[in-house]
Amino acid sequence: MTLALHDVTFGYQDRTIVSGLSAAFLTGRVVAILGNNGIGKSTLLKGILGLIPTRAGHVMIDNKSVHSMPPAQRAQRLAYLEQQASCHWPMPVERVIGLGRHPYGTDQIDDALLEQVMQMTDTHALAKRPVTQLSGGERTRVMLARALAVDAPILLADEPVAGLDPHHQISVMAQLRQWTLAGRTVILTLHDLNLALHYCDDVLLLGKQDFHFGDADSLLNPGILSRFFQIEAKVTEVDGQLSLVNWRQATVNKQA
Amino acid sequence: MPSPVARLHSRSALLISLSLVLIAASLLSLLTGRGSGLAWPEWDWQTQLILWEIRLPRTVLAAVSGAVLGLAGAVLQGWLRNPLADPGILGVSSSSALVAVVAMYFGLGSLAWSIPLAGILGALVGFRVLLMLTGKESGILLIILAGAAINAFCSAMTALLLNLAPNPFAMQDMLFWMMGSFEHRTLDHVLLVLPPAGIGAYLLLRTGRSLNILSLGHDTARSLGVSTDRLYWQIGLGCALAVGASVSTAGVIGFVGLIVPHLLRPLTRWEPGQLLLPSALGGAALLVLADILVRLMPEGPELRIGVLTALLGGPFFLGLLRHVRRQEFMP
Repeated sequence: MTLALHDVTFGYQDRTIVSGLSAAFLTGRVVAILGNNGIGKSTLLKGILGLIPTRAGHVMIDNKSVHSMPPAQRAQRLAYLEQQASCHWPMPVERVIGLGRHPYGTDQIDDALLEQVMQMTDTHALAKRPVTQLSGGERTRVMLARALAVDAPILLADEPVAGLDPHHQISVMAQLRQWTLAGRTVILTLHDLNLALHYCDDVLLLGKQDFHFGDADSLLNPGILSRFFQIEAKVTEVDGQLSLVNWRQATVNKQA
Repeated sequence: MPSPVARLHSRSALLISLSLVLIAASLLSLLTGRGSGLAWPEWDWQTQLILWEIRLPRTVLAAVSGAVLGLAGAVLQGWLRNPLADPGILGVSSSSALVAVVAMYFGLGSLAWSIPLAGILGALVGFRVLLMLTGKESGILLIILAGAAINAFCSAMTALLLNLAPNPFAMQDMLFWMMGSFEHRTLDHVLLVLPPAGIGAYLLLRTGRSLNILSLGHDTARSLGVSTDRLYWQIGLGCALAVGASVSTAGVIGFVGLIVPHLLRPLTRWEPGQLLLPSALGGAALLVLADILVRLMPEGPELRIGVLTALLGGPFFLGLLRHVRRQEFMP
């Protein structure tokens, strides 16, 4: 299932945040949306979902307009993990995860799927606990499990590893990669460029004036990093994998 | 994870328990007379008359009012994700009371149907004004602020009407009506109230699953297919019809819609959607019991049920807040 953006523009009130963006997210890929704070990563995800109106362009899944789909049909295709997602009431964790089945007209999750998403997010031990009593990182994992429970072909996750300890950052990224093997697409926003290099197939780089979309290994080069993030770094191969080393603030080139 | 069957059993047990309490309270209400207290009646024509014409309408109206207040409170607390929300928060109960007082001011109170109709009309007008102020899809804060503005305006207008009452008796009538009572209500009132209360309750009961999802936040709920603007209409119209029907026949009765959902929430695993039916049953039982208590008071002017619920509800709610604080949970 391919998600395609055709010249889309999103914004709030009189402020345009994302303008004239086109990209096609292919099945089975992990895509990182990268960019500085406030550049429009979350806005883009909300625009794709139809949570904010599209000012121009179209968002299509397999040539069908996402925004003209009935809400339940759209929800079955696009799962969403909100940034700093939480649950207002102290409902048990397993119950919160089950709410992900809402697009299918039920609030009951079958045991096999519950087991799978809990295993992916390492939330077994939390199953009976009230969700409001969890730490920030634990809650993020539970909310990711809730988004995975939708079992949609496309997952949009807004900073899914923010606030996680290093072990769980790596584990969640590896599991999301695994998730795409069954023909699903994962599109996530990230700030850790090494996680993007190690676990993502493609990156969408958002800048103030323009964007770049393409293969992670070729796009995350020193020139682009300097232009989009105002940092200098070396891209080097460590144990057969490209990594960013020697980060420092760039002294020139802030026009991106 | 508890199996769906186990969860159904615990929910069924709660619903059956509350239903039994409501049935017992209703029977007790039919056996309780003002002045005569609790007594097993002789089955003569006078008793039948008292049962059919006085106690049955009173009991049914108390149950219906309590049910819609408990239900509306549970829905609004879930929708606004605010444990302090009550049926008055949208301004529909104060607008209902205002239009009913206007009808009384102009001497329409003697017609049995005029006050209930005025009250329901007032609630619908209040909802229309709320929509005008907020637009069809608004944030929680704007809805609460608009409701507060409607409440303030309607309270001021009601006070003005009391102030300008043509005579002390008219003022007393209006004031006593506003304090809430089921005295002198007939089967006509029941027939007038049941359709809007029923339609309103139906609309509110249908919101359960969406309220569960809204616990995850507005954007996540929309991403899961919840139509938040339709939900706003459903809840606003449901509250206007149901709460308007209650206010129009019983006056303004506070605390039921606030306390009942609080009491029952831990028994429903904190799920807003699971709380609705239990809150309706709990509210009905509570108000029928409160109305019995009113009739068991010593001779003299009847204590208004709105005064009684506030007298009992205030301290009870304070105790509940202390308990909640100790549990380290305050959403």
